[in-house]
Amino acid sequence: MAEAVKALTIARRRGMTIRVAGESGEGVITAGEMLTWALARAGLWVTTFRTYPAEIKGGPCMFQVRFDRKPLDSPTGPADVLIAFNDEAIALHQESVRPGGVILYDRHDDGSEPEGLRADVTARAVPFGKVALESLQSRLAKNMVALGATYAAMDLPLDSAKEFVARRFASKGESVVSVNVRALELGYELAREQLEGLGRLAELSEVDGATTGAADSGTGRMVISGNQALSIGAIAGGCRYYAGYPITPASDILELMAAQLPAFGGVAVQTEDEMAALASALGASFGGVPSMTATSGPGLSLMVELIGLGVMSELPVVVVDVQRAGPSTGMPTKTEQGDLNLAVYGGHGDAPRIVVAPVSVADCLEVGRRAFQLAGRYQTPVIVLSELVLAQRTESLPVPRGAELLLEPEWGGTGANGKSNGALDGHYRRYVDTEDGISSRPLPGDPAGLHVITGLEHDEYGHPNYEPAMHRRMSEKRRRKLEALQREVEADPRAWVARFGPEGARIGLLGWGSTYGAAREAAALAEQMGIAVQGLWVKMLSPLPTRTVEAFVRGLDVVIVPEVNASGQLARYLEANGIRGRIVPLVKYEGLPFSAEEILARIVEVAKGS
Amino acid sequence: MSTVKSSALPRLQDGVRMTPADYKGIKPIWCPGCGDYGILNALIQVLARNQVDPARLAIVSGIGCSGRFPAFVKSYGFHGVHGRVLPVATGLKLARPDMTVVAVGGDGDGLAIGMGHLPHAIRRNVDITYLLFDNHIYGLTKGQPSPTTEVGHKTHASPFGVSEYPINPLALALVAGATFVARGFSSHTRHLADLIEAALEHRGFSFVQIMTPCVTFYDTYKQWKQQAWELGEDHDPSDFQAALRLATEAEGMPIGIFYRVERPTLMDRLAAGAKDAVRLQSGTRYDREADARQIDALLQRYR
Ligand SMILES: Cc1ncc(C[n+]2csc(CCOP(=O)(O)OP(=O)(O)O)c2C)c(N)n1
Ligand code: SF4
Repeated sequence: MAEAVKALTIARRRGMTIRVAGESGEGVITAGEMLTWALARAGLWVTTFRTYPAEIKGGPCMFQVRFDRKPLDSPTGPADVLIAFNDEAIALHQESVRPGGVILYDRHDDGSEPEGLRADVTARAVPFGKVALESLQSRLAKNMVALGATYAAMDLPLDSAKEFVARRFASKGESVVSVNVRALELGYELAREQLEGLGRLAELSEVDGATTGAADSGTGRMVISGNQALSIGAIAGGCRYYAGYPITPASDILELMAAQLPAFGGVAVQTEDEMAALASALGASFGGVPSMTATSGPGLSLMVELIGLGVMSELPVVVVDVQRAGPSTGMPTKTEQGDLNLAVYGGHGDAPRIVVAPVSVADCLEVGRRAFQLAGRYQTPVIVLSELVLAQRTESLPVPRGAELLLEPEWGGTGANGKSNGALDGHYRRYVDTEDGISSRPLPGDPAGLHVITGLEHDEYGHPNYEPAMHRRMSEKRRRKLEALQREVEADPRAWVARFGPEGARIGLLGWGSTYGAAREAAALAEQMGIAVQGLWVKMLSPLPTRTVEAFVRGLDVVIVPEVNASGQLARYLEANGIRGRIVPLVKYEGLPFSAEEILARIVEVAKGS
Repeated sequence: MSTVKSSALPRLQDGVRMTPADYKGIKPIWCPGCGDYGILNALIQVLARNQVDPARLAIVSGIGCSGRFPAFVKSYGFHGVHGRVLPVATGLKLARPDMTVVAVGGDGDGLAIGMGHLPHAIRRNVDITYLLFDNHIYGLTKGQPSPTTEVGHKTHASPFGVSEYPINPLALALVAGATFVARGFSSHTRHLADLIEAALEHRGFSFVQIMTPCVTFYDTYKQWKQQAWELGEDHDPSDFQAALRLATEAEGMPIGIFYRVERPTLMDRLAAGAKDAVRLQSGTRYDREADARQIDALLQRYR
């Protein structure tokens, strides 16, 4: 059966995949980014995946670019072409090349061949390094030589690559640009002159219907990463204060915000730690300015007390957690969906908060902007659970219009939410108890709204109060806000759940976050094997839209729940929320994302068994 | 004497007058005789004297007996969690430069759990006033030693006497680069009010250590009354070395302005650094058209 799955995924996989591998420092990432951009420019839909070492210098590194005429769900899976910058890269990655695929590798200066090359692939030696050294006096340019060769083999116009080089190296000066352009040209010529038979690449792309002459021109697209999308979404959602402390893989959010927020009238600061980051975001929020911080697991652990403060004082704030693998410092450069428990439950006392999770790069943009509206409207922290693989994955997307992205964050002010229910007795009842638990929130500066907020249990005025009835009432008020949101989501779940597959299917996939792409692809492949599968990806994790999830599960014989963590956090969370059904967890905890094949294999097993 | 440009306190509109009693919030819950009453009275005097607009004043606190302070003043207030008062105040001030932001906290709050934030708030020179209520003890948790308690002092948590040397908050603030460093004593209320007023008017981070006895767990009244002496005209607050000497070597307990200097604030530097940030502003005055254009420009970078 495993063979059948493999054969199918190879024969029926959409698009084409090029994997570039080498030592970090050899230009793997630049080469990958260039390919991505050029392919997007050529009118193809592109999605990428990278792995890189935790070491500052050295260590193996890989960048994979998958492209097709139609948008793709997932960047993972076997490669059609492997460009290997050294022997180690061949050893590490040739297994991932599909049978009949191509390996382009650097020829040894002494003419010898690398050991153990697979027989069922077309392997071609090209003297990338030597050509770079001889003609350009720099081995460093070998990635450009290799790319030039790839472009020739794939019949891609070299102009787009040259344009990328000119943009990327503009700041380094004219001579750097020209050396790299020359390297591209040399690689291109080399492939054209010496490598007949490499037309095989073009042939492959024909077979897969991914030729470069695709219909639309691609200029209406951008290539953007999940972190970039999330940041831009946040700004469009109204974020004007950002505070953060560097941590992989969230740091580039800090960098983008620091560079971009001022142009929007906003401010970004790098704080001394994560507690300061979230505390200052809460301070800014109190002032009425939509605020955000972003971190990764260890930072979220440190922020937990302040999340409780946000819940108790009913201050809106957006906290992004770009999850990475493992407890403690774990594996900073590897991916995992391990922080669901912390995000939903983390902290002391009962602290209901909103937790959302994007499922793709495009969704990072969307969730980034809507997180602000949720936080503002419900006056509570919103935790956005992103993941390393989403954060760093780049994708080609249509360029949205700024005017359409803008969202009103509803971040307070007298009469927020159309209510001005607090002004009574000359004192402002900041926490006036309402049906949906939402009170109006005047902002500092408003003479009619003077009030003091506190992390202590309090009465409607915000005065500390430890009466049994008061704690009961205020606990209910805080929870009721989330129930209101839950009703809102259940009434129209489209914004917060993603569905795929035929509704009548008896086998289901249920998940959250980045597994969406591979699962959707797996379902499409299963369909080709005659197995009907439907999927539901939940983007609103707290409050969980239990009715929607229940209705989905009820119609199924079996639900596979793929998760990138060891304990099956979502599966347990479903159970805790009273979702009953035949739930089959499918966990992976290797620091790597699921491929469609891995999910398909489980679907096939389940289909056979049921 | 230095020539320090004052930061304008937000005033009430003409025609509106507030008496000291009008600035009072809910009734304080401190032990009778607690030094913190003196600080509250001093601040209220300053507010009334300057007819400060309470709507544009925010008092931020951490945890401890001092943490209750915001509720006792009629203004906007934020009683947060232990030790994080300075980051909260910093975020508020950056978001709302139009607000006068006062951070209050105890010696435990600011020099133990929150210590990491103090040098950073100072090096940012963010335009806030920090009043450190120093009673040399943890009041709210019932008398454990604090980072300023003297060596050898016995408490339930230090039955053989405190083993650690105390922190010197003034010296710390000075070497960290604070632009306004002062010490007051809650019993010298009028003097303290003048200090607080000067601190509020200072443009930049102003640090005021306020000696405030805890009558319940460590009564230092007698000792501090004997030790306190006011700095005179002979001290030049622009002389850093003199300030540091005073902070580390002076006999007794000098009170007054140790050091004062004008330097660009964090907001000044942020505004200057972001060259194209013509719109770096306070609050969130959105401009839909400009924002949409700016987002379009940002997206173009990824084309
Ligand atoms: C994270 C955390 N740890 C411990 C406490 C308990 N706690 C409350 S107040 C306090 C000490 C306060 O001392 P100080 O800042 O000197 O203030 P005082 O009560 O003397 O005014 C402590 C340890 C807490 N609230 N939060
Ligand atoms: S315990 Fe001490 S510091 Fe706290 S209120 Fe009482 S006297 Fe003041």
